[in-house]
This record gives sequence, C-alpha cells and structure tokens, in this order.
Amino acid sequence: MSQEELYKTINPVKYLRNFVEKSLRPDGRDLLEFRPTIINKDSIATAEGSAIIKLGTTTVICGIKAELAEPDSSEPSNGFIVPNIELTKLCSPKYRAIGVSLDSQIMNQTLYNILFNSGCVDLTELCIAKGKLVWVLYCDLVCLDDDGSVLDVASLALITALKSLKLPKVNYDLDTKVIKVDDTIKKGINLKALPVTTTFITFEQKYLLADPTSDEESIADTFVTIATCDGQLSYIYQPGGNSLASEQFESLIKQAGKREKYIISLLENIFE
Amino acid sequence: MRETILSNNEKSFVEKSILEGLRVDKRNLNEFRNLGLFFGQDVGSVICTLGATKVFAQVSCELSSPRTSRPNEGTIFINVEMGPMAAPHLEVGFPLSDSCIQINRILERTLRESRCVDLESLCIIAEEKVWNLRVDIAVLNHEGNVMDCSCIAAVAALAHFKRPDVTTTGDGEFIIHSPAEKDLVPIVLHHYPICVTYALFDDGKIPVADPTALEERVSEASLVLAVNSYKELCCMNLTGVSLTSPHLILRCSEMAAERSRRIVEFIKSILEEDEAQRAKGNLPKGFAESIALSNLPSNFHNEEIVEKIEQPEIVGIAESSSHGETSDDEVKIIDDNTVTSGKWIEVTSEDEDSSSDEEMPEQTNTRTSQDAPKTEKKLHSNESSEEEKTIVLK
Amino acid sequence: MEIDEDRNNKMRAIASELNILTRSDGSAIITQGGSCCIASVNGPLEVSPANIDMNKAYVEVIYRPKCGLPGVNERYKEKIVKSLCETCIITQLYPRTQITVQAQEMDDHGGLLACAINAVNLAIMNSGLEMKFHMAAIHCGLDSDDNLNIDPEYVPKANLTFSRIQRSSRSQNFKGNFTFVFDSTKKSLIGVNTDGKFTIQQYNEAQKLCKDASRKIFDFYREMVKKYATVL
Repeated sequence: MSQEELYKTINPVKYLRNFVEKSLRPDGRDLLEFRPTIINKDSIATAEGSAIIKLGTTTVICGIKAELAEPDSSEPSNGFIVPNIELTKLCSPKYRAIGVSLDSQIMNQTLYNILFNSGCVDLTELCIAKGKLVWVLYCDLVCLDDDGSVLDVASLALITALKSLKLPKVNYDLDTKVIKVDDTIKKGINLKALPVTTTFITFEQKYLLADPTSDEESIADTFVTIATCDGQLSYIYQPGGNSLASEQFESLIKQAGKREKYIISLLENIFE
Repeated sequence: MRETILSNNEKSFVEKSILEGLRVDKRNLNEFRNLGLFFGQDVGSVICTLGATKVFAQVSCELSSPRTSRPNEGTIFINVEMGPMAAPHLEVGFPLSDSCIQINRILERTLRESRCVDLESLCIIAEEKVWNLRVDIAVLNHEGNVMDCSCIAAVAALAHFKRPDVTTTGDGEFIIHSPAEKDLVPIVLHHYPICVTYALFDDGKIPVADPTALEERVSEASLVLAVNSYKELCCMNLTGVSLTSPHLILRCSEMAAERSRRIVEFIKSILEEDEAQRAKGNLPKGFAESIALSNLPSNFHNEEIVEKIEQPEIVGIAESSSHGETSDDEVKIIDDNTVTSGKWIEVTSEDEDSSSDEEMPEQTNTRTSQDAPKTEKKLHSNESSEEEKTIVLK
Repeated sequence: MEIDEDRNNKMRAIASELNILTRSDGSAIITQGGSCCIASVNGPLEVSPANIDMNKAYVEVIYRPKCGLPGVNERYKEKIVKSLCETCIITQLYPRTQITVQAQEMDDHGGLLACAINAVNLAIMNSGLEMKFHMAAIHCGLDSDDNLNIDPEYVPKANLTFSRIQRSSRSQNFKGNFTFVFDSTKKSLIGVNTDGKFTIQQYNEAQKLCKDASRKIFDFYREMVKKYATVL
C-alpha cells in the first residue's frame, strides 16, 4: 500500500479536504467537472431496446423486454413500464449479496419518478386495444460497477434504451381475440422529453462536487439530485443532510442545465 | 429488540390478584375496558380504541378477476400488521410474528369463513370482474386484547365502507361511476361477528375478560369467541396450555354473546350518527375532530361504553368443584342451562334482553329453562366477589 | 414579517396530540386539513449486529400506507424520512443503539409526506431524543394555471385502491408538487422532493413561499411544547 493509499484509508475526510481546498479532486478533476461519458446503444441483440452507459468506471447496462398483457381496469388504455435495477455485490461490496435490496427498490421508484415527472413517455402509446391488450416494458438495469452517481448513469441508460426501443406491430382482433405479431414492421415510441439526471454532493458544507465517486459519496454531507429537461426542472431531491444556501442551489441548477445540454447533444449524435 | 422479560414477582402478583378477583387496573374479572370508535373522512376508515389499545382499520376495494372456484363471488382479504409502533419488540415484514399470524387467521375465520360479507353482491360480471375487498388493520398501540379491538375495527370499517357503483351494459362492458355521478354503495353485511377474548387463569378455572398486555403474558391460555348479535358462534379459538372444562367455555360464550350484542348496537349507533352527519351534507372532519375534542388520548370520555357483565354461574361451578362436591351438581347446572340440545350456540335464555332484540332470528329449536341465568348489565355485587374470595381461600 | 394570507397562501388547520400511544417512547398524531398521520419513536434500543454503528445510532424508519401492502413508493418515502431523522437527531449521542421510527398514514387529503415528516418530528420531540433542530415540512402544489398553492387540500385520484402496480408518487391533481423541509435554527432548506415539471423560477418562488409558511409550523410546535410543558 502506497503512502497515499494509506493516508486515504486512515483519514478519508482529511484526504479529500486536502484536495478540494486546492479546487482539485483525487482523480484530477475540477470540483464541478464530470467524468467522461460513454454511451452505447442496441448492445443486446435479443432485447427490444438496450444501452450501456459508462461514466468514468461506473457502468450500467439496460435491456428492455416487451411483453403483451391485459391493462389494469382503472387505467384501461395505459401500458406499463417497469424499471428494475439490480444492485448486487457484483458492483460494490456495500450492497447485500442476496435478495432484493432496499437500495434497488428505492432507486426503482426514483427512476420511475424521473421518467414520469418529465412526461417523457405517454403510456397510452403502449396501448394496442383499450382494456384488452397493452405492452409491458420490462426495463432491466444491471449495475456492473458502482463508482458513484449510479442514479445518473441508470436514468441515462433507461432513457437511451427507451429511445432505441423498437416494438413490432401487433394486430388484435376484438371479435376472435387473436393476437398477430408482425415482426417485419418495427416502430419506436415517441419520447416527448429527455430528462437528464445530475447528482451533486456537498462536502464540509461549503464545497460542491459534481458527479461524485463512491469514495466521495461515502463522506458527503448531503446529496442533491436534479433532473432537468428542456430547460425546465423535472425532479429535485435532497434527502436531509446539511442545508444548502440558495446561491449554492442556484449554481447547481445552472450546472445541471449545462450537463443536460451536453448529454442531449451526445444522444442526438448517436440517434442520427 | 427482544421483549422485556417479565419478572417472577410481576407474574405471581398478577396471578395472585386474579385468584382474589382483583386486577391490576382495578377492573373486576368480567369487566371490559372502554370502547371508542372514530371514523375518518374516507369511507371505511376507523380508529378503534379499547382502553389504551388502539387499532386503525381501512377498507379498500379494487376490481379483478374472480377465483375460478367461485366465479360469481368477490373476495375479502384481511391483513393485520403489528410493527414497532404497537410495541417496541414487534417487527414488521417477513417472517411475520406468530401473534400477528394468529390474529390474522382468527379474523379471517371470523369475517371470511363466517360469510358475514355478502360476496355475491360484489360480483359485476360472473367469471370476469368482481370487487376485491381488502381490510388493512394497523395496530397502533398494543396494550392487550388486540384481537377484540381489531375485530371491532374491521367490522365497523366494513360497515362504514362504500364502494363505487357499477353499471353493466351487457356484452361484457361496464362503467364504474365516480362518487359525483352516482352515490357509493354500501357493502352488504349479513351479520356482525364480534370477537371476545378471555384469558384463562388458575388451571383454566378463571376466565378474565379483555386481558391487558400484562395479563395476556401471565395467563395460561386465551379463549377467543366470535359471536354475532344473533348469538351464533362464528369462530372459537383456544390457545395456550390449559385444560379447560366445557362448562367454562359455555359460560364464556354466553357472556360473549351478550357482549357482542352490545357492541353491535354501539357500532350501529355510531354508524347512524356518522351517516346522519354525512346526509346533512356536513363533511366529516375525520380524525381532526377527534383530536380537537381530545378524544383520542387514552383518557377520552366521549362515546364510550363500559361493559360489566354479571356472571355468577362461573362462580357456582368453580365453587362446587372447588368444594369437591359431586359431579351431579355440575350436570344439573348444565341441564339448567339447556346445553343438552347439542346446539350450544343457542345457549340463550329468553330474558328481556334477547326478546327485545329485533335482530333475533326465529329459532325454533331453542330449548330454554326458566331457571336460565340472566345476563344483566350491572356491577358485581360485593356478595359475589366475596364468594370468589372464599373459593380462592379455600 | 406578515405572512400573506390570501387564498392561495393559507395553510390548512393543524391539530396534533402528543403521547397518545402508551407503548412507544414518543408518539404524535397530526392532522393538517384532511390529511392525518400518526408517528411513533422508540429508542435508543438494542441494535441488531448487522446494523450496528460504533459512532452513532442506527435509524430505522417504517412508513406504512393507509391501505394495501407497502411498495417501492413507501420505501422511497422511508428513505426521505430516514435521512431527515438522521439529520435532526443527534445520533452521535447514542452509539451502538437503534432508533425505530414508524409513521402510519391515516387520511390522505394532500401533502401527506409533509404531514408524515411533521408527525415524526413531533414524535421525536415527545420521545426526548436529543435533536439538533426541529424540522417543518410544507407541501406546495403547482396547478395547471401555473398558480402556486401552499398546503392544498385535495382527494387523490387513486384513493382507496390497493393496487400493486407501480405508480408515480405524483398526484394527478397538480402538475407540479413540492415538499420542502426547513430546519428551525437557520430556517434553511434541509430536504426537498418534487414531482412534475416546472421552471426554475417557479421552483424558487415555491421555496420562498414555503419558507415563509414554515414559520406557522414552527409556531405550532412552540404551542405544542407550551401545552405539554405545563404538565411537567
């Protein structure tokens, strides 16, 4: 173990403080700089839509499997989107080895909120025959490596996979109840907005850090997650922790807006 | 967290006092704690308080496909939950605690298997769509006898609940009406089964009504009797280690029937009051009102009934057996109470109470005797408690 | 400063009762308009070896819906309440112990998360656990005409169904929903959760309105303390 590693193990807070005091982070970034983002779409051939996103070393893969089902009687013309993320020991030792972890349940709901608050998907678009047949999109996300900011990466993976989604044409005969799937005609779904999620942490109350690594997350005072789309805010979440001054908050919103523009331009490049 | 250990001193203190006919909270052995019912703003939501024990019940409904075995019936599901709010040693989630499963199961037997809810009226289209009812019971404060409290809450919530009206248009289509379009429809209840719990002490000789948490822990066994206001037994459950005589169960069921009748009356009166308020167009203020009136704290005074059911027969039996008299005497006592008919759910005496009861169904095969015991609402006389003491001290 | 008392900025009536549960160390029931929530706090208790923390207390939060099984949405709310509790309780004073908080929804007429957070705060206060500060949660709705409504009263659409399908926590009655949590010492923002889509300006405005309104909650807490302190 090198001297530096030893120092970091013994006093992680002081280690990080020494860096941020000089407006620098242990991996060489500026305080509000993001790690390089890599987007890969249609990565899984058997899935209807898929994507792999890397942010630094944090990696999330998303595959969407579409199935046909009967809609819920309270919302007969709405399809379903079921995001399900797996956070296992595979990606970080902090997660439980077996069973559905609390973290993944919470992240599922967060992903769901981010997706629907922005009005990104219109669930009626997934309807084939009202009250009879709708699409269910099982969005399975697997985190391969958790080095911080998993939510940002997961939500981007989900959006990219949804954007790359291709559904076959389905004919449903109301009288005979026969379902015919035509694989030759494939159509994507219309995404009305693309929410981009950005996570920030505060450290020692005064330092704001964008795109934290897992080491930084573990000693953060508080998290702030901001989702933006089309210059508007669609989700702001701060779960307690230390309070932020309103100027700090405003600068974070500005940063999130910048990040959104960058990610959208990346997505536009891929889906040209 | 583990449950706090009960000391031997506490245990023997409770046991000894009960042998003397005394209880820690000054009640006598057949006395119940105050009962309170508070309806919320939503239909089917109720807080039931039994002394300091508090339970919240909420009924909800949803459409779904029926079970294939019963295609023209809705379903009812009961879920009881006791978390650390009820008592610090209780935990939520799986595996469910034994006490929680037990209460849930007894409630299922009481409410579902007695078929008190008209499930056929919950059917919209046979084999296609039926209403599913769900009763969620959250135990807020566990001060003993959660069983009775949950049962009363569940029955009151079911009676209070109303589902949206549905019109079928033939050809398998139907419209669910919002409350603004068409009034909500109440659930049809054939009868109101009420659980009455007795904790058994002294080798199953002394039943103690409405046990507190401490008494529950000290007692040898617990006897739960679910009786409706027609004096029909819907469910009986005896848990624990106690060899109880059948006479005692009979006496208890008789007392339970009386208790049940009064509780049903009470539920109905409170329901009527709530219904009248809603009919007048007064939006119910729900629990806010209860708080404003300081009704919810443990020492509330409004809307309460105090149950003191005189039960001298038990003493009689206990006395005769403890004095070592012949078994003939006991048989005679049973005879007096017309148990020989075999249908012991009809251990009713045609006293003033039951004959004035409008809900009494025609019971053709009831055999009664003139010497039948009268269950009256009055306090234990000093005489009888002295009798009890003499038994104990014997 | 006078709080603007026009129609949109009026808080609903608050009523509360402390110590209503005998088996909990601290408990409170609170109603805000038609919304009602009950909370209990137990602790410091024995902690299971899996959750033990040598430096501070482990906070467990259980959030229960009024009907149906708790789902991911409740887990999400548990997380919010848990982090808020960890913020306002001085957990460092109770190392190697557990603090259990349970909140139970009783009536949902809007702003239930805020109601639950306020109930939990009162319950912690009642339990006697050391707190850094009190917290006040305020709900604010953005209606379709872009008007901000402080602490609005409404009946949620999916009320009284127990469906297990995943729903967004967003209420259908407003296009935007904000829940802000403020601390009592600096009156600064310690927690926020939002639903729906809104502009930066609307967000800032909502935060300002809620900050003003939080005084009412703190005043209410003060009244509660006064009422109960006389007994001691």
